[in-house]
Amino acid sequence: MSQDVFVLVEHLKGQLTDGTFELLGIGREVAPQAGGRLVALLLGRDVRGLAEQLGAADVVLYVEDERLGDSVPEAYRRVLAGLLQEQSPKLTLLPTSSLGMDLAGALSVELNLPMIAFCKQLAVQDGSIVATCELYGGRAVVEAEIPEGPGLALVLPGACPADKGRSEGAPAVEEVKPSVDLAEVRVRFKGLIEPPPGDVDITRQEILVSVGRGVQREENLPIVQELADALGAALSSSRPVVDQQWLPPTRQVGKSGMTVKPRLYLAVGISGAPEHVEGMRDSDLIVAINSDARAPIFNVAHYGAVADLFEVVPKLAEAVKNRGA
Amino acid sequence: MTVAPPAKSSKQAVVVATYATLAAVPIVAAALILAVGTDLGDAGREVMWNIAEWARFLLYASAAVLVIVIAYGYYRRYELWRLGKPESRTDNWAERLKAFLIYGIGQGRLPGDLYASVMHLFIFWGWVVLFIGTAMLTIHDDFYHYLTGTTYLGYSLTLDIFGLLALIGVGMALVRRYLMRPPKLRLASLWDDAVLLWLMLAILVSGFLVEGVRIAATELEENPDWAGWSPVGWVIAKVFTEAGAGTGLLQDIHQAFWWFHIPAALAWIAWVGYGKVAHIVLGSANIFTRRLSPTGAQIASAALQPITDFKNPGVARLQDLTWKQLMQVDVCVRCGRCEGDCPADLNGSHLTPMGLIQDIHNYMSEVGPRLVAAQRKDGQEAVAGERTIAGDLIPADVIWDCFTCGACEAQCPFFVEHLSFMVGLRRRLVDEGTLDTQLSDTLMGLSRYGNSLGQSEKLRGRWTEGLDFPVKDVRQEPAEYLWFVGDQASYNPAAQEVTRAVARVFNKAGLDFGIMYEGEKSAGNDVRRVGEEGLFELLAEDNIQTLGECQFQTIVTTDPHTFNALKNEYPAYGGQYRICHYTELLADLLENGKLKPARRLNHRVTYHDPCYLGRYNGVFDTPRRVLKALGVELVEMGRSRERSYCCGAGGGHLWMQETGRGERPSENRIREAVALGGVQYFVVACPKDVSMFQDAVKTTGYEEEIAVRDIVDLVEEALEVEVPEREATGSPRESASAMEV
Amino acid sequence: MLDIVVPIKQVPDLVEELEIDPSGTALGLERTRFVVNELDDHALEQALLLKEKHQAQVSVIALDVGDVEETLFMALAKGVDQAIKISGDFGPAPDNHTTARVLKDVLGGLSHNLILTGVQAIDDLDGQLGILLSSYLDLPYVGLVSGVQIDEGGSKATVLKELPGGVKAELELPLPAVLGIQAAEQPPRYVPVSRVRQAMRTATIEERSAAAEGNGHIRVRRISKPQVGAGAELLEGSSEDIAEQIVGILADRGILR
Ligand SMILES: Cc1cc2nc3c(=O)[nH]c(=O)nc-3n(C[C@H](O)[C@H](O)[C@H](O)COP(=O)(O)OP(=O)(O)OC[C@H]3O[C@@H](n4cnc5c(N)ncnc54)[C@H](O)[C@@H]3O)c2cc1C
Repeated sequence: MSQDVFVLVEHLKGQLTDGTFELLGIGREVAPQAGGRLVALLLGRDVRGLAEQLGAADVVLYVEDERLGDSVPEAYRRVLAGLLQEQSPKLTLLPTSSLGMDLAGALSVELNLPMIAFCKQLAVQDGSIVATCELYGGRAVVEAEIPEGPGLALVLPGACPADKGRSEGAPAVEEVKPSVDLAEVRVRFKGLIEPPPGDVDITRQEILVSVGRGVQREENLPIVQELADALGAALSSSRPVVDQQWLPPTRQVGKSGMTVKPRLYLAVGISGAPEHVEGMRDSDLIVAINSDARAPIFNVAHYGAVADLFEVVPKLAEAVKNRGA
Repeated sequence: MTVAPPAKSSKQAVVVATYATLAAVPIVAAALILAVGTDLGDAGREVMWNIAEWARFLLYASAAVLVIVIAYGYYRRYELWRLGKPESRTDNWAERLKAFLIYGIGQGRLPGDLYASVMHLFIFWGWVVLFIGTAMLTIHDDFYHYLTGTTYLGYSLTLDIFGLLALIGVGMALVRRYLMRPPKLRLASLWDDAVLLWLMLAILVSGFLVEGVRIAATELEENPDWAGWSPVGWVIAKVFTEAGAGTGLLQDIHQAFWWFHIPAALAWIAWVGYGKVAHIVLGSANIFTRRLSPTGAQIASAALQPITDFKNPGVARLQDLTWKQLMQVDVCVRCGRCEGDCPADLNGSHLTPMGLIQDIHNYMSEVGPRLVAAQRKDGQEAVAGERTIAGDLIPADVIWDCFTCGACEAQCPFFVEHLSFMVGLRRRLVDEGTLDTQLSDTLMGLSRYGNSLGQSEKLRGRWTEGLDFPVKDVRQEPAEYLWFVGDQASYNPAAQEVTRAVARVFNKAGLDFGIMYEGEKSAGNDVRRVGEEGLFELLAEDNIQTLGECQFQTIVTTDPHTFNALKNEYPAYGGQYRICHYTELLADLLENGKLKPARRLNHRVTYHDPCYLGRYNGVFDTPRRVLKALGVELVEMGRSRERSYCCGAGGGHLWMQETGRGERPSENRIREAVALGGVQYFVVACPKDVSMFQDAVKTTGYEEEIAVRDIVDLVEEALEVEVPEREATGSPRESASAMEV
Repeated sequence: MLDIVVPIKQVPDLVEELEIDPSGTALGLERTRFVVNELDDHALEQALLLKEKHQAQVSVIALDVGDVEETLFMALAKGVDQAIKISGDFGPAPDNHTTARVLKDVLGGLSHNLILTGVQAIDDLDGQLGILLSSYLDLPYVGLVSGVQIDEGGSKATVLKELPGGVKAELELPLPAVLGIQAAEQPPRYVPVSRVRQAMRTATIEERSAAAEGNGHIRVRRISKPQVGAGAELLEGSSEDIAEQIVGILADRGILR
């Protein structure tokens, strides 16, 4: 076993994701603790060019293959399994994303590597991998360790500011040929289905008023809409509101929805589940209104009011209008 | 908004006046005869003058055939009703006879619609008297000769006037049908309804013509003194003689009219066994077999017994209804009265109670005979054209639209029990999983946590933390009153302040009371109304078990829905309690001096009867007694007491997406209250009402005009128990947030 | 014949306050109320939808942990063909590696060509169950699935996998396979209590036992509750006060014009 820390690079449509830089940021801290290098693993169809942006890493290993182009996790898994087997790093970091979630467990079993999921913080202490995890929908913090290692970690989005992983540098870039036959991949990519266009693009809004299950019924939406109108904001939402078809899918913020960074994100009746938070935590200013003081949304919000939204939202809309007048 | 209907008393006056007019006719006739007619001893007429003897036999033979034809009509319907399940509706004959006299003969439910009431009374009594008159004539002719002299003349006068009244009634009906066209009559556009009316017009007119021509030919010349006692006939006779018709011609004309009049009358009588006229018999039968208990005890009716056939719960086929329900769908005459106060109908939902009954009626008429035939052959299989009643014949959204407020039942002249259909239909939908996701989430929460707000049961008693005295846990120590608080009152922040006010007032009165804290679960009233029978049973069993472990004398409830379930539905599961609503307790405490108002309140208020307290359980006066004791000025809304208009939360609607497309029932109601003029407070006695109407005051923008207050809030104000500072509107919701600071 | 197996898991009910064991390294299980993992309920719904479409046979299997019987009876009431409860020496709170191995053991004796699980659960400390199971069984896996179609012959599945930004990938994989369900094609159905009670009286839960060796090899040092509102500055007062304060904050930052 080496003492290196490996990070899986994730990219979408030719762009590195924020999650990648977050992992690199964490890796930058952990690699010295482990006493090894920080190695970025870059897999894809035509990805050599992306290596330049991975200055935070000491080494970039890249694998290019036609079949790695469509982000079919199984193809990644086969390549990664071979790679990790050969290189046997101390710790491998994967993002909690549609790709990472379809890799970690399989690698854990295939390579007999212990793994920890829902990681918010990571460290290597006395040779052990120690993680702080957010479990039970953010209601409990679990400190867990993999004694000695090696191991895998599935890291939650937002565990580290992405900027920490964006640094200039000139890592050694090496190509690795896959040792496995990708013809054996059983899952076949058929195509992408884009969301229906035409609705407001919430990723481009300066102000978002976002509504969650706390609004209780579709007929209550106008209460929140009124506030949005007063603020000149667009309405976005958590997933349950979209599942109920009260708002179109284009308005969903979070893991399976949009990632937004408005100047103001006003969360109304949203509990702040990790899957939601990952889509909005980088907003400049987060204000939350929720009747439950225990709601995890108050952990990411800058300002919070423990109050009934049906009381506060109309008053707030009024106050905003009065000010405008 | 619907215009507030005229006050009940003025309506009653018109109806009483109508009755007085009707009753006056024979009396005036008798008086007139006594005054002038003493020398007319030989007056009389030849029955069936100018008609061949064989026609008389033909007429009698036809009458005999008619009896068979009519009987066959009823037998056919009876066979259909027998498809239904058994149900006992023949106990307590004395009560039933009384109902028949008041609501059948007396038509006691008609005054709800004034025009229709007068119209119907004229037609009904006109027809009754003409029918009796014909019977009297037959007796006179064939058995005992008595219609002579002054008796005959009085008889003539009375019949003529009642004939005229019937004619006026039919005229009113035609005007209503073709000129006024009230929308509720839209279903009554069937040919049956129209033909019936024109037929009646034809019978009356031809009858008068027959009479007139006879008088012209036989009386006008010979016995002019008599002729005037048939005033209508006399006028017609005059017209014919003035026109110069000779005796021969008159005889021919008379025969022609007679041969038109008699078959028309016979056809009408035959129709008594088939069409709309059958309501004379069916309506009486339905009134006689009506549910005698108040609406609240409706679950006791066979239609709503606990589910036993788990493979096939609720109403899917005609056979899943009871004979009584099947009979009811035949009774409906499409008068539309049930729609008048129906909140679902007014807010533009898909449901109309009349449509529901008519759809099942039409379906039964079409498919029922095939089912009867199949059953004769011992077959239980589906027959051609058969549909699932819940969800197909009656679409699911229609079934979910109902608020179970009972306004339809309270209006129906024939006591059709619309609600007995609703719950059965919903049971089927729930079993199939055809329900709103919000509703299914609520039901899941209820089965898991015992409350409809999906919160931890441990938090049920948390509202007591805002009190400065402890509330007993009746599971630990005995108390005289066990207060069953209910879900909304316990958990809903908008209702909690009212709940605390109740506690403070009870405490001030020195009442020995306690609550069950997390041992209490939802009583399940609305769970049952949405058709989730198994969950209701589960909740009832749990509550009965916990109640069994507590020592108390009387249960007091905040929520009328809880009150209804505990009072009327728990006994069937072994839970027999003395039970009262908090308004009843407040009235007692005020009247026996345990609560002494420190001042009279000068507010002008109106009171909203909660459906499940008023219509369901007949508690109308008690809350008004409380208001009286406080000294407030009570102004009644047009729709009060039995006619109270639902807030829109009943029947599980608090847990569903809103279905209406029009004005919300609660908004309609607030407008009604505001229209009274100068009413400061809209007083309620149900935690659901507090939040429903507070919301409606906001959405209608009447916050300046009116505020919603629970009755206990007023009691507390009058007692001057220390209350948190009230804001301008005095709304408990506002003070609730003030409390939490 | 399509044989669908749905492994389901019990997780603590978050409606209740979480209880932590005095040791500080585990939940206080005696006082914890369990519910079925929400996404497993979606997996079950998806299985039932496929059953209706393809006359599939659906089995639900679960380790004997928490209040699992209630959940299994509920599944029977919803119409699954078989419910299996597995006992063994895996303790009251097995990790997902252990659970997956136990399930693998039982699945060996159970015909299956499609395994549906919830894509994740709130207590997945050592990874997600579905993908672990797929690897132990060496079956293809796709997670975050929100739509499943099975071809005529029952040899392939076409699934929709959710990607960020509302985009979905359409993927095809041969059966047998394991899918991690993110959302069923319709919300999980409601099953009336009378049916559940009826199932409790008439249906039976099959019992199997299985051996569990090894675990996820991770050690919990400490469980604690997060500091509430650690990040947020809480605004207090009446609704008007709160509204005024928010307006003030927005104005200070130039967000209000
Ligand atoms: C793989 C995966 C992907 C997911 N992707 C997403 C995603 O993209 N986006 C997303 O949002 N979710 C996503 N989820 C779902 C996520 O886990 C949560 O279930 C969801 O975010 C919860 O939404 P919520 O906060 O609106 O509802 P809840 O968690 O039910 O919270 C409602 C909140 O409203 C509060 N409230 C209730 N009444 C009032 C009142 N009167 N006034 C004020 N507050 C009130 C309550 O206190 C509660 O905190 C995903 C889940 C998984 C497993």
